[in-house]
Amino acid sequence: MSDEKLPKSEISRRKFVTGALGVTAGVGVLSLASVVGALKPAKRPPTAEQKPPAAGDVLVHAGDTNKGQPIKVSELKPDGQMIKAWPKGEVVKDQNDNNLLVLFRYPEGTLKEPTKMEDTAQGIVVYGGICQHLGCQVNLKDDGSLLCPCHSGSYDPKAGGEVIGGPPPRPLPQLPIEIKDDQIVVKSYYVRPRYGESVSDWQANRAEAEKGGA
Amino acid sequence: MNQWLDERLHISRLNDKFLRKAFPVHHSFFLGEITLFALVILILSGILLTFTYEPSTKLVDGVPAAYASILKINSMPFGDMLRRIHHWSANIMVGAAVIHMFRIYFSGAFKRPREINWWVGFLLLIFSALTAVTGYCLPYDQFAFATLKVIYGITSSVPFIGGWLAELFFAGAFPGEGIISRFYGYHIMLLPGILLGLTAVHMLLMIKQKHTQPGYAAKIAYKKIVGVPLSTQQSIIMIILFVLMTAIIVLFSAFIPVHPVEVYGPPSNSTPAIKPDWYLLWIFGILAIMPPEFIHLPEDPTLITPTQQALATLFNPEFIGAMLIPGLILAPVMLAPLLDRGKENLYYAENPTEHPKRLALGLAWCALMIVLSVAGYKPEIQTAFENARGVAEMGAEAASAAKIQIENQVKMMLYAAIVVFPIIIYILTFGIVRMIKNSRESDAREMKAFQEMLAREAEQGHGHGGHGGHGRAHGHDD
Repeated sequence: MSDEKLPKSEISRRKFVTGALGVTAGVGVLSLASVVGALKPAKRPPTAEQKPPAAGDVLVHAGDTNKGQPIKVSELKPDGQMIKAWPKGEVVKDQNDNNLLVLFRYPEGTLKEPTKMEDTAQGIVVYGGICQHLGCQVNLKDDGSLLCPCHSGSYDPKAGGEVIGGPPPRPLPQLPIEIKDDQIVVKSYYVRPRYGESVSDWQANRAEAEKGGA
Repeated sequence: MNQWLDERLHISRLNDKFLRKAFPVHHSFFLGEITLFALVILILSGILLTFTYEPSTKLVDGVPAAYASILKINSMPFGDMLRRIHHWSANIMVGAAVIHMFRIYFSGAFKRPREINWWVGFLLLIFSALTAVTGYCLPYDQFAFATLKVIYGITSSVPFIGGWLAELFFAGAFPGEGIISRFYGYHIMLLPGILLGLTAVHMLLMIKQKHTQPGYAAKIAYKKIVGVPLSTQQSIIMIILFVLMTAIIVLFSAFIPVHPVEVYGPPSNSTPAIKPDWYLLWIFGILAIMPPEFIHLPEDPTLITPTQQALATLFNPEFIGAMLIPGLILAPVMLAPLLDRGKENLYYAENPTEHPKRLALGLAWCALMIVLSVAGYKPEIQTAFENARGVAEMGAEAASAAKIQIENQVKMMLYAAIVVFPIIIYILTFGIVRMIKNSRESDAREMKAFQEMLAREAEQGHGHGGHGGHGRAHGHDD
């Protein structure tokens, strides 16, 4: 046996190879981990087009034909039809699909609790148009309720966006508005967190939005 | 030429080891081959699609490049056909794999010594479904956008690490710029690589362990491998099957369109009603009937305590509905070989009716999947009920109350069906199998009695025929 000839302090060939393999494998895996970490890109601050709505933003049409034009109150019929809108500060904030807003105008007196009445104007109420369940865009049904096309969450836009069916965990977030010069202007941030927003994010965004203009 | 090759590559040894492998002759043994051939067609059509597809979300003429390139493929000669062939093959691959798995399960072929191959096959099915999902995100139309957003949401719903995981897998916050090129990498490199590796293991294990033999093989030569060799008999059958399958897929693709991207259009601000492909409908169904919340949070977000928030994050319906429950439903499938307590190696495929418990459990599981898939049609069911009750003619107040009531009823019915339907199927299967077994046994008993009687008659000569006839009638009453 060759091992017997070795002085006691020296390690055997087998032990050395095993140890070396272990160390190499360890270093290899560790360096791979850094590659995996790089798969998650660094968080960048939102661009002006991606920022959430802020006080003072004007609501503009999100439709194809008149995209980007401010919504005029005088042209809105009180028929409960859904109008999709983007908030517009210095630029139209259409690069974050969670910014999509839905706007309804009802005959006076149609809106009921728990709608925040002080945040509506002339029967016009505005909500975030993204379902609180898994983030799809809600559609208007014939009966005037909202239905999410993904997992059939439904909301009542006449009653503060309350969940009237399906899996959404909370009502649609109402966006407080006021009317200035025939245009619809954002008064302050959503009354509750919108889809994908944690409570702390919501509070931070609200504080940011109150400053307005951004 | 054979000799020239043999001198250099020792083909004859390959021939002995692999090309002479015996294939049992039974139609149900084609299911695995169909799955494999569908994968081959998928790879071939997929390679052709990559030549024109552009994995990018950058805008080209106002629409994302990925979407624009799909339109371009559609406008090429046979381009739309190519996409349909790819999509149809994917459906057929998953379908054949599922039925193949049924065959293995019901005939007991998953038992010792083939447990490892059952697990490899299970992984193959999971990764096939993942590959399919990453594939139908690639056209980047409104359907793909909504699908991506939903799976992003589901990934983020994993308690505590969800947000990090989602950003890792989807290349940043949704919709990141790199999302399509990332999914392209998953769909054409990572997942097919895994599928091919697992398929190779699946085949090698099958060659090493041999097919389970169909029952007839026991009668021909007990405990011997019976079948036709791969070269040349089985390979001819395989080629015929492959060509026939390709022909059928092309025929389907020519007449039945799948996923017309123009209907959905590029990502926009309106989502049409969407449903996933049939093999994921059950998870979709679970999500649709989940209760909105398990931990009730106060209405005012500022009043939510950290404990409540943590509990709500831990027990959120999306994670439970899209990951935990599906995991619990799939776990027994994976663990099936461990539930079998047999110590002997299995040679012959078993008759399902001789294992009533296994058969009944399998069918009850299928029943559960069917109920959950039907739950995916919840809004349609509700609309049908609303029409039946004439909700459209009611006043606004009454209508909305009726709708809420109908939704609750439909939900309750589905909940009940989830429990009751599988149980009924279990009991029914068990009963029918017991009946078959009883009638088989009584047939055998009667046959034996009859033969004994004949033998007695032959022994005793004439005179006792009337008595024997009585005995037979008696046997029938049993």
